[in-house]
Amino acid sequence: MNSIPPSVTRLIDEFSRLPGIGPKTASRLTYYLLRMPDEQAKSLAAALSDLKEKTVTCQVCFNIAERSPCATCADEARDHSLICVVEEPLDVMAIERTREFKGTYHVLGGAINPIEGILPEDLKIAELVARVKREDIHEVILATNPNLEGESTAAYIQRQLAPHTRKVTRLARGLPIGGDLEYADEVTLMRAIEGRREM
Amino acid sequence: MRLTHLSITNFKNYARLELDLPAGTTIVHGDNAQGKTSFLEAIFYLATTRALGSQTDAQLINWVAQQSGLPYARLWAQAQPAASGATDRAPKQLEIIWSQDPSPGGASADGAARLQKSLKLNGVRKRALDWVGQLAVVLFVPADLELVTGPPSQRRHYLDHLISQIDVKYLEALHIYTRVLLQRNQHLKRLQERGGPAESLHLWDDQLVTHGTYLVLRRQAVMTQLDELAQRVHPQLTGGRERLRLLYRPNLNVGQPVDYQLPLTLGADFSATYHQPQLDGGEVAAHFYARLRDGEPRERAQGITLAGPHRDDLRFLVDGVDMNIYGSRGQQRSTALALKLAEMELMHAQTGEHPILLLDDVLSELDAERRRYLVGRIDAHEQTLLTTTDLTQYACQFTRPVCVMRVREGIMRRDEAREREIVRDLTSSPLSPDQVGGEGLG
Repeated sequence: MNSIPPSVTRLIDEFSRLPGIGPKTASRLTYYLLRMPDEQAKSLAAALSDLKEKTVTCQVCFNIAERSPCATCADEARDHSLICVVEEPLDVMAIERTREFKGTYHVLGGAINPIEGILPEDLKIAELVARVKREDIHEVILATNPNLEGESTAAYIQRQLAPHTRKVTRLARGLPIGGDLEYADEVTLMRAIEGRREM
Repeated sequence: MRLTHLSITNFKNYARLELDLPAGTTIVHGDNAQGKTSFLEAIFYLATTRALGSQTDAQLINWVAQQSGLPYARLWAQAQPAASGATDRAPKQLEIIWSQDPSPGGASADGAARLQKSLKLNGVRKRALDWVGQLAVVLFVPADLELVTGPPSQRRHYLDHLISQIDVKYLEALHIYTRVLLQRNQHLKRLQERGGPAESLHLWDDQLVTHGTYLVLRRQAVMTQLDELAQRVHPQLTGGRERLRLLYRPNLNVGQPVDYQLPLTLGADFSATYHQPQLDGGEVAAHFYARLRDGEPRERAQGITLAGPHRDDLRFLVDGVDMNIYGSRGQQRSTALALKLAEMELMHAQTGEHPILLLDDVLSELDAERRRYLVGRIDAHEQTLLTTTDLTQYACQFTRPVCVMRVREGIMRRDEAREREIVRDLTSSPLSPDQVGGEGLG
């Protein structure tokens, strides 16, 4: 009855575990790989094993890197008195793309979300406080997501850091560039009015 | 506000319905399970984007359409704002479409199609939040009685839905409050499981207090208004013999303990004893913070947040007697009806539009006196849609022309022959008691 070889079903099962991939997509991907030239498949396999073997978590900023401290943390040209706190490694990439930020990062590994089982002690918050106490930090920028969990996390960190640092800031909230005032929702518009700036 | 046209495709009993609706009263009659309530439900859904019961959207779609493999359903209505008062007098088109999710993951595990719902106002896609207040309806169902007799949660839900229809900010605050409360309760449970420092729990308090305070203030304001309006309506339902008060009992009752059980006090001067609490935003917030701080040991033991508007209640008193506990069936029914009539007045006061009244087989529950009063109100109202299994109970009750529709197996036909029975010939003798029947006054 089950004519599919075990080595094939095993890969299908492994693919199914990935986010956004169901059993159908998993089998499609598997059969695509079966028809792939040998060297391409080997290169994919090598990339996969390197991913786990060659990456480490930077012990300063907790970003994913090939060595610790990571390239950003080790870069003498960057401003080490400025820390930008983000939820995930992908947020670091987003901010790096702006080429505007010259400080260092701190990756929390998520936001406080008890529904998902994440409490403050599961994030790198204590490490951030230690880092601020240890180093000479002038400003901490809280760049968590502007949703309920991100805001609560930012408020919590602000309270933890208050005794130890001179300045804690939060990313501005307001209108997107290229947006249309008419189509902005009320909450965003309200925040934009609150956060207006003198020209 | 009135509906001028309603179009239904594959919604509950209806495969297809195109119906022009007149102003004034429309009575839909027919046997059970033919589509009377579904008709009202379609309009209720267009107004509120929620179902009457706890059905999922997939259950609303006509089952024949589901089996055809292409689930698609649509509600469409044209509404005409009132000629007076409103600034925007152009007709509006409201449309709700359910269609199958076309993405590859569009089917759930059991093979049933996943539905996508889209809302369109005048052909432009809208968010559910922007839908609020576009079409005002007040629904009367026999189950309204449970607002008086049921648990506090039903009264809270009722009040939440009512205020959400007139205040978008309330809906947003409620949404965030509910989410923060859920996070905080989960946080408490995790602390129970693993222990650990409790001070992190309070990171939720700011948002809980900000949005919770808004809920409390709005609920108080609306209840004060409903109380005044109901005090005007209720004497007419009961021949002026009784006085009704609708009181808000916030869990964050600043200064005084919550009276969960009111004493049985009879007397004319009761209204002086029971005040609506006059709350101030700053005081409520300060009280909320204090309750969260002081209640922490108990909250940690029980694993839930113990203070806040999620534990509010409403009190309905007739001559100082709590209807939830001591009311007779008749008194409870009058109270529920007075509440709904006050809701109708409130909507008018808040939106400047008379809401459309939807009555689902309500009159059969009322006695002659209250029925006559309610029919009088309907008769004078801008637009009312009501359903009944028994047309004879409306015989000779209306003075203005009434449109009678007969529904059978999801098909609706005008029933002109019966229309003359409904409208009272002013020269004929008044109604005899056996024509109206019903139960005695409580």
